[in-house]
Order: sequence, then structure tokens, then C-alpha cells
Amino acid sequence: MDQGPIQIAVGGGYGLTRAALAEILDSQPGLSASLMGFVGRPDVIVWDAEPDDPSFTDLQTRFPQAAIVLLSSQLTPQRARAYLQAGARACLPKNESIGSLCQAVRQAMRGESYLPAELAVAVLSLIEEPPTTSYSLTERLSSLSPRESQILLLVCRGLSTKDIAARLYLSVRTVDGHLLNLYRKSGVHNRTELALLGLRSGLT
Amino acid sequence: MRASLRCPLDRARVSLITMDTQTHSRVGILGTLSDLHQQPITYDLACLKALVADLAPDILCAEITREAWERGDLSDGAMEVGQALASVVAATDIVLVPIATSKMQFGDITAGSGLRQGLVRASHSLLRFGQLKADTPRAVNGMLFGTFCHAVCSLVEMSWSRNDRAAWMVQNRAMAENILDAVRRDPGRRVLVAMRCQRTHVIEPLLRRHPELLELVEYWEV
Repeated sequence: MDQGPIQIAVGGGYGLTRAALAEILDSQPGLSASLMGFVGRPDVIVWDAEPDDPSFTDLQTRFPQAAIVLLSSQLTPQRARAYLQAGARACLPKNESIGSLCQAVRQAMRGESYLPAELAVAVLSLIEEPPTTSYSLTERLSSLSPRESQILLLVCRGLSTKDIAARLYLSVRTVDGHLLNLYRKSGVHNRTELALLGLRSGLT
Repeated sequence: MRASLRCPLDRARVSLITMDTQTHSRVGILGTLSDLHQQPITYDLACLKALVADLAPDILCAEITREAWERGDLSDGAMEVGQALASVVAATDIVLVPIATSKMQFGDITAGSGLRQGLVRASHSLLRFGQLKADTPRAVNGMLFGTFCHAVCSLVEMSWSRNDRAAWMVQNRAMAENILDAVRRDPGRRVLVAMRCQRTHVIEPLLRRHPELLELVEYWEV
């Protein structure tokens, strides 16, 4: 049964970009694209999301039936994860090809998620990171004392608390104390999260 | 009060309550007997192991150089470290801090002339006799044996050359400084110093000069 072309509404960003995107998508087989406001009940919304764009959060409320595909010029893995958690079905950096955008739209229409392969790997590696962190990795690690940094390095190398204590000639209780401070300062809850955080910051 | 806490759990509770609030370390010195621990006496190697494991200090300062300890060369340290303390440390949360600066021991220093050598031999025999008589850890570390041991050791030291006496003092001062470094690095901890009983007369007064860092207690009160 032919269900007709996928109805796409294009929004966000600058007017010229929106218009160009709508034109390009509309020319693709099986897609019908217009600017936001010209489609009553879009199946998919392609949203040009600039950093800290507040209007994205309203989309789900206004169009609960639509799958949202986000385009961004500054799409870091953290930002992509945040968008996905906020309800976006797909995220693409603006340097992706039109073919990728069409694939993202079609997958979003089928109820599937879409991320470019490299970005998907990076986002997967963030799964262990607590989503509540609101400040950057660098900020979190910059407040560590030299001793805490030393202990973080040894945690990243897989040493046990006793081994760290023996290596630094500190008591186990003292290392435990430093670890608790590290958890608090880094905003993590356990040793694994701490080690992942350290590894992501380049500690080995 | 602490001496009456026989149960390790009680001691741990007291330790948890006191150690997290104080910055002064409690330091106890446990005099050891070198190869005499291998003799069939009450204070044998098994006793030494059990004693240290039971006291469960946060830090154990022991007679081995840092280089040897980090190399894992236990033969380069005091016999007690290789044959007793290292295995206790491996099986518990105790952290060993090496404090020796060289392998030199009291018995390694020889007197010059024949008469002095005879005096040293006699003194060593006397010390060994005393150690065998005071064959429990409490007795070896008690006041009576301490006074006797100090007197005999002083007699032996008098027979040494000036250079040897100076070298002995330099080594003990360096060891005391290593203990103080461990305390400075990790304040508020329970520290047990296990060292040959001949050193305790020298090192104990050096540690007592630092009440701002540590409280010197009996080894069983650590």
C-alpha cells in the first residue's frame, strides 16, 4: 500500500538555510518538504539547531507525533547525547551529505534512531558517564589537588586502592579519603566512572 | 582505654572514631630480635606476624631500603621483613613504608683492637642471653629489658671507633627522619615502627622531639 511521501517540516536556523534544505529534501524521492508552518501534521521535523537553541524543546510539545531530526554545526558527542535524551530521533553535523540526511529522515520515520557512525561510537562511549554533569570535563578535573590527580592517574591504570597506597606510601584509609574527594569533585559515583572520566581526559 | 580493647572490631571502631578527627599520628615502636625470632622462643616469627596483623596499623615502618622494597628484593632488608612482615603486609591493608637507608646493622660494626673485640663479643653474648630470657614481645619492649639492652649496647658502642659511632648515629637519624616523613605525609594515622631493638634507644628520643606531629605510645596502644 502506498502511504505517500514523508511529510517533512524544516525549521530552525537561518531563513536561507531553511529554504535551501526544504528545496533539497523536497527533490528527493519519497520525501515532501516544506517550511515549518506550511505543513499541518509533519511526519518528520528537520531542525537546524544552533547551540543553546531553546525552541527545540518546544517541538515535542507542539508536534508530539513527529520524529525530530536535528542538524547542528557544533555537534559534540555530549550534545548529541543530550539531544537524543531530550527526544530527538536523529542527529547530524552539518558537514554530512544530503544522502545521510535523507537516510536519517527515512530511519526516523520508521521509528529508528540515526547517528553518523563516528558520532555513534563516541556517544556510546559516554553511556557510563552520568548525564547530570552540567560542567565540562576540564572544569571538573582542574579543581583536583596534585595528590588527587596522582591517584586518578593510578586509578586509570587499574591499580587497586591497596596498590595505590603502597605505591604512594600512604595508608589505605588516606587513599580512600582521596577517592571520596575525587568522586565528589568529579561528579561521579564510583571507581569505574572515575576511571572512564580520567581516560576520556587523556590520562593513561 | 585502648589497651583494654582486645577485640579487633572494637579497636577498629575506636580507630574510626578517633583517626578521622585527629591530625597527630599515634606511633608505636616494636623492637625486634633479628635472627633470634627463628629460635624456639615465644617471640618467634609467627608471633611477630600475628602481632603485627592483630595490631593492624595503617602504616608499618620497617627496616628495608626503599630501593630494595620497590625492587621486591626482600633479601636486602632486615630478616624480619623478608620472613614475616612482607607476608603480613601482602595479606592485609597495612602499607609498608621502608625506612632503612643502608643495610648496616648493629652487629655489623666491629671493634678495632683485640681487647675491644673481646668486649664486644662478650656484650653480644650478654645481649643475646638477655633477649632469650625476655622472650615475649612485651618483655623485649618493656622497661626492664630496655634498660638492660641500652646499657649493653652503650658498652658495645664505646668500643667502636669514632667514625663507626658517627655512621651508626647518621643512619639512625636518617631512619627517624624517614619515619617523620611518613607521618608528615599521612597525618592522623596509626603507625607501627618495627625495628631491631638496638636502634630503639636512639630513634625513640629523636621521635619524641616532634610532639607537634606524633604521639609516641606503646606498640600495643597503636
